[in-house]
Amino acid sequence: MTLMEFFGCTFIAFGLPFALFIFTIARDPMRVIVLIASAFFWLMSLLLSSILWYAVVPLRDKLAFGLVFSVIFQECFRFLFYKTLRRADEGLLKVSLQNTSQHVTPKDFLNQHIMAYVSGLGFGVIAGAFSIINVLADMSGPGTIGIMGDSKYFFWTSAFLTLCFILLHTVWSVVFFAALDKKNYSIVACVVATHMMVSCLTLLNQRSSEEHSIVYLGSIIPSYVCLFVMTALAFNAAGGSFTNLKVAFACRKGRYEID
Amino acid sequence: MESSSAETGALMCNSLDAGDGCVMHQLLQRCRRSEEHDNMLKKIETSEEEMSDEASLLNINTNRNQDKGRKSHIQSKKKSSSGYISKHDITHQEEEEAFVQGSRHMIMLFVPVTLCMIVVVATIASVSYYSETNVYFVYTPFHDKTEDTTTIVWQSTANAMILLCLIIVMTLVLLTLYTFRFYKIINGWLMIASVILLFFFGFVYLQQILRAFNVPMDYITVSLLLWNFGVGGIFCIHWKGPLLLQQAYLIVISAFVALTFIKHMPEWTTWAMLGVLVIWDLFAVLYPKGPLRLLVETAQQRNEPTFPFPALIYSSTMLWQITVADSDQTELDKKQNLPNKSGERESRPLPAASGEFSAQGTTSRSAGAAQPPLNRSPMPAAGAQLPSTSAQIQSAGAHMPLLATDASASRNEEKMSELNVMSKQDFPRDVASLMDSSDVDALDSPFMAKTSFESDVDDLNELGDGSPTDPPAVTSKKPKQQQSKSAHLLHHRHSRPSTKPSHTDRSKSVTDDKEDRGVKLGLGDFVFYGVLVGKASAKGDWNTTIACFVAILIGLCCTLLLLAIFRKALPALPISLTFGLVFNFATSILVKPFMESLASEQVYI
Repeated sequence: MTLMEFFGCTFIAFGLPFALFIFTIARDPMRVIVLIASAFFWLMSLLLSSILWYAVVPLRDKLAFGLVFSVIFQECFRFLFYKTLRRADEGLLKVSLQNTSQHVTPKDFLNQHIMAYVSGLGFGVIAGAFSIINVLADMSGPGTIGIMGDSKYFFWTSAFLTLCFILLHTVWSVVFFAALDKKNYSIVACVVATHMMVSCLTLLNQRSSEEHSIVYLGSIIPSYVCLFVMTALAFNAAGGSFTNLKVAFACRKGRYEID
Repeated sequence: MESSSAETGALMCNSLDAGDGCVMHQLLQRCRRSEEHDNMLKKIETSEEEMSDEASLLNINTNRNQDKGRKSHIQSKKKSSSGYISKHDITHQEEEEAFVQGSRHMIMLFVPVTLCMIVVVATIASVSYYSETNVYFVYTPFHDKTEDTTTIVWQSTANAMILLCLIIVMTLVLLTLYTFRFYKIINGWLMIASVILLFFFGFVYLQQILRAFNVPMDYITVSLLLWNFGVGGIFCIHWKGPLLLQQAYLIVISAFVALTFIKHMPEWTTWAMLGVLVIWDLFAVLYPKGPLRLLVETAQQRNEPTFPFPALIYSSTMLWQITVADSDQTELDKKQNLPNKSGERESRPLPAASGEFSAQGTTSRSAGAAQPPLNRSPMPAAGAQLPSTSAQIQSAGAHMPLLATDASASRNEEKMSELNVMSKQDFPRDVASLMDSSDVDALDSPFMAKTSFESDVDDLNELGDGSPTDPPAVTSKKPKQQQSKSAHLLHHRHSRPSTKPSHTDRSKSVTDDKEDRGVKLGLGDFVFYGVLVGKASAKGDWNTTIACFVAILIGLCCTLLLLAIFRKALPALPISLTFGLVFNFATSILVKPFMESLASEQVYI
């Protein structure tokens, strides 16, 4: 039973990101490296926020404090990563245009959204992994959830929220990078604001208990609504439109390719 | 068109080998040479010295030609495709290219490193045997179970120093053996070490796995399994076998060694040792008189290809130092599904394994056909770069520098000597190897070496463009192709009627040869990455494990970037281990409590 729960939650949280990784990233070494590098950036931001949380002893049990600064740090590092990537792009673009036989195709650099997507996924995957992997380890047993008066939906919610955050990070990065490219700072602020909002909403989860599982809906539903809105924004930022969407559903060869 | 190109090729061959004349003559000569193998080694050395002046000239040539070739090939907008190009320009371009090329090499190292770590972590997580220490290494005599900080500090430092001394002694022994050409002893040493690793450690591992999962198994089955596993490993590592299998065995061996370290070392000693290793690795590889560096330099001086002892280095492409020719062939078989190849391979005698020959798969192959199988003792010479011995791996901690193909000067020398050998051989293959050597030259940076997965005619073209050794032959890609084709035609006629190597064949082997100089990573690096991650996961916190994993990969990335910039053997441990150690402690002390409270409250950041 615990094993089933473990696999179920693992697949809920990481199934979709894993598929994204396999189909869009794994085959391109450059993308894999960018993915890992962005994960490293997220790790640095987490480290900074942990240091802050650890250093400010009196507020250590107030998670809201750590959370707010963590979100700020994450967005800062997203910006830093954007800067790094754009700087690297200039050189890489030049080379990849010259060397058509190289594995790195120019489209990765000509189409800025690809690297934005890859780095977003890197952020998301590492964030998701950090937030759920120890829960997953506990999930595989022995033991059972809910005996001490906690909600029995604990794992289930964790998995869905993790999935939501992984995807949110991905689309946030796309929107964020595109907005910075166009110097549209209101959108950038919007990304930071939604991140802050969704994260703060998850503070509600602390109130859940065996009788009050319904509380979870208060964080899950807004998170997923936000995810859909941001996805639409990202789709739009990447040049998508309603017409594109309709075309995508027509049957033709190579329609799942990203470029 | 074809015939004319063939003629051109033939002409080139002749002009190259002007001294010698007919093929029969060379065959005879080669036979003789195989008998006087040592003499040949000496000859090569002297020739190398003679050539060193020319080599530097050639180097300049290479750069220019390469540049020219690339420009004309891609028709970039930059002007001045002919003529002299400033050095700065060249290096700049090379660096950029190296970076792009590097990404693929990084992945080719990421995958095995990741696999090794996964094996270690999975074992630690599922088998408690490896995470509880009750028997200690002889080398770590101080292992009081105490909470006293002072005691822990001095004991772990003392243990780490003892281990370090052991490593130093082993490295020096290897260096001495290598310097005085005791290749057989080195080989025997490595062989024994791998036998012990595969059989004994394999047995312990299997036993513990079975015990952990509560699976009963009789001794007969176990011994059968072990026998097959062990003998297969010995074959793959020291002789020949599928590339994937060989890589898998090397990874498994590294994982075994890492697990042994984790099990038998006191906790703090492990951390202290990792820290000490960072410094030692830096010193041994970078300091001009550092032992590992001396090893590398000796190998280069001897003109031995940059191949290591197979048991000690993971290479992203070819690992059969001894049977490069065959591996070449295998690759071809694999890629092109030429059915007749395998039969041919079987019938072929053992490839002669002089270091010089192995540098070019093709040459050695043809040489092998003509020569009686040579004792392969000279081969390990290639391993000069191997900084460490398996005994070290086993007992103390071999770590090898990340190897890059080295400075162009040495490369040139190498190439020149190769040329020398070849022109004496007057074998049609020589053309190919010529191209090869020039390619190698053109591709000074380690990253420039292409991987087999991608080799194609384009590569050949690029390479050809860069060939300094025979400028008239290789200014553009067309001539190159013709040349190679003619080469194989000739070869075909003379030595192996059964083969029908196609044009692409030729180009492939050329590129493969070049690839042999791709990025290599010492098994010691695998071992210590594994130790770090395994030790991190032994505490039961997955966040720490992931952080270490990402940090090590990023460290490896940085090292490879530096490799592209400096183009010499670099230590792979320092950056990765430093990152890994920092993130291990930072995560377990700072991040872990934070993430735990977040996760238990289901707060997402």
